[in-house]
Amino acid sequence: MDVIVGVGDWLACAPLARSLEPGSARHRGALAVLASTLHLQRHLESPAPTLLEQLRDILAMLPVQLAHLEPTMAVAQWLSVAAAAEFVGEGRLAQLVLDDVRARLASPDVGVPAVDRQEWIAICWTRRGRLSRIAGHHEDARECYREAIRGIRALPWRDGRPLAELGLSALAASQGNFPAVARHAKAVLRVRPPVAAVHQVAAHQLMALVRKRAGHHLDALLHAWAAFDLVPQGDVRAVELMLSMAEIAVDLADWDAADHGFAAAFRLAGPVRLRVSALVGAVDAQTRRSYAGESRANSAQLKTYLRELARLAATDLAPRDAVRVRLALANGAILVGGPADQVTTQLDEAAALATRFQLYEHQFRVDESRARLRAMTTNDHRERPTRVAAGIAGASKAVSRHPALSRLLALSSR
Amino acid sequence: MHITANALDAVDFLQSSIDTCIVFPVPADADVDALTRFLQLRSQYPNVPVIALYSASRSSCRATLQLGAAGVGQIVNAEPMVRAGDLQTALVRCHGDGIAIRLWRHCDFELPERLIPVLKAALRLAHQPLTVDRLGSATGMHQRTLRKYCAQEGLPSPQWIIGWARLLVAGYYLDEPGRTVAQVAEVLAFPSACALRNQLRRYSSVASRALRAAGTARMLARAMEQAVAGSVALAAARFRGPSHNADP
Repeated sequence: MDVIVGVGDWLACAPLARSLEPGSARHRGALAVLASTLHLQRHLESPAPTLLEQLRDILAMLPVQLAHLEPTMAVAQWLSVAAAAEFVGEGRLAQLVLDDVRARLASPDVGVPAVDRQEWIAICWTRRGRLSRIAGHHEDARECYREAIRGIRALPWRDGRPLAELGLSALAASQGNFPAVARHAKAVLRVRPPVAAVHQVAAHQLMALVRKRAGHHLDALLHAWAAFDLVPQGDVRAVELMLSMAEIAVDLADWDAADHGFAAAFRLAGPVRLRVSALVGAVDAQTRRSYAGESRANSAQLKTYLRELARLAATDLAPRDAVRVRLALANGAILVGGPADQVTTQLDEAAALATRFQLYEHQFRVDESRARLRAMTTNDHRERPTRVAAGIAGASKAVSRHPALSRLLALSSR
Repeated sequence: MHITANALDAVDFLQSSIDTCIVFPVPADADVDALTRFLQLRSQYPNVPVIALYSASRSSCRATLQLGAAGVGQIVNAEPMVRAGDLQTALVRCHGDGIAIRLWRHCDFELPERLIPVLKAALRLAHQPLTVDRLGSATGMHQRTLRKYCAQEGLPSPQWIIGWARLLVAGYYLDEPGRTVAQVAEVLAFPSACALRNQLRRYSSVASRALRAAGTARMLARAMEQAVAGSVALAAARFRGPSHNADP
């Protein structure tokens, strides 16, 4: 059990300062001082601007999740501090901040309507639930989300109620309980008047996941488009949705739509993780296309992707991304007929990383790729892709293509 | 309050007094000597509570983490100036932590391993009326999760633990002959002196006067150990399941 009564306890357990890079030390130090300041407050006051300034770069990266809270309000600023703590991986510190905000809000305060206080307390509980869910403490997460709903059940849906329902939906997804995922997501989408766009987007994303799991790929695609149309321009979620839609196109074996989706996502992707996902997805789509017996769409484009992947492989990637990049490089090299030893090197590196970080699903994929390589090098025709006249297949796809897939095709030409 | 200009003076003062608290400014990155001095002081006096003063214009975030790793109870933001209310609250919290540490060592508890972290957290928070929600927060759980955890682990309920923690802290103060039950009840925000006396008798089966004569905190600790043993045995019996003979 992890007992942290105050910031001092967290500091005593925090990673060694000397092992942190300067930015990381700055963030954690500022968060520690902020959390301690809040802990000493009797009433909720805004955090010190000089300390918030130390977190400016993180705060700018945080997605907007609350539609009804003025960002300049003290409660909104402290929720941002908690979100920043979560962002740098200090969930326990984030929880301390949220609980202290909740404790301050529990005291009746002149000038703050009880309805608002209840709503803000509910938001704190949804954030606590999220922290527990991400940490794998599912029972605790459920209690936190339910607590949020208990406090505002009779109130109109603003931010607290949708976040609680979406949290329960995401929790159900973690547990593979897809009927419950749908139930909670639909509850958010059914509300009239409709909830804020940010919550509808999340609900549609969850419904896309449910429909995809049920094998109803076109329904999943429609939900993804519904979410896409609600996302503001330039929002990183637009790229995430493009990637999801491209992956659905792969499942539907619409290789052209998938290629266009991944290309559009790569063009717009800012964060490294999204660039990795776009490139890996594009190579994966081409690999699957090839082994489905259709000709590769664009080998020049594939080589461009492989060059970019090689560049990323040389950078400091998160473990999962590092494995995926190496797998994609190996599979791409197989497709373009690259030297077997180069492929083997990439697969060995991917395997070592997958073992080290216990990424079991990627270990399985490494084995698949090794089998493919063996088939290629031993000239085993059973596993070699056969080429089919793509023209006929492509033409029939163009005729029967669903509008949602046509729309994906049109994305990269914008 | 004793203000010293250098670490040597601070050491002299610490050697000649108890119930002290170190208030130390968080140094800048360049001031390696200040950090070294603090770490040396800390290694010599690991039990003295520390309040760190942070100033955005002079202090380093990295040094904050380094001080924290060596043991800091509270951090007070000193810009634009140190607020008296913040410093007072920080001192009260440090004092409470110190009492909890001393109480723990003084009572020399023999308790189930799983109970110890929960009880230690409760003792640190016991200077004020303590809710299960607050205790849950300290253990990283929603209060319902904490209740389930205690039930699953065969521990007494969180409310029971809180009750004993508050009583133990009261017992610590009652061991000071100059204090009356009424004063202790007021300081620790018990409803009344009568309520405190009744709780002492109910939990320990001994009147408060007899407790004080024998050493309140230790007597309460022994009573708590017996109560925990009984409570844990009861929980074990409840979860043992049917006692039928498996043989036909």
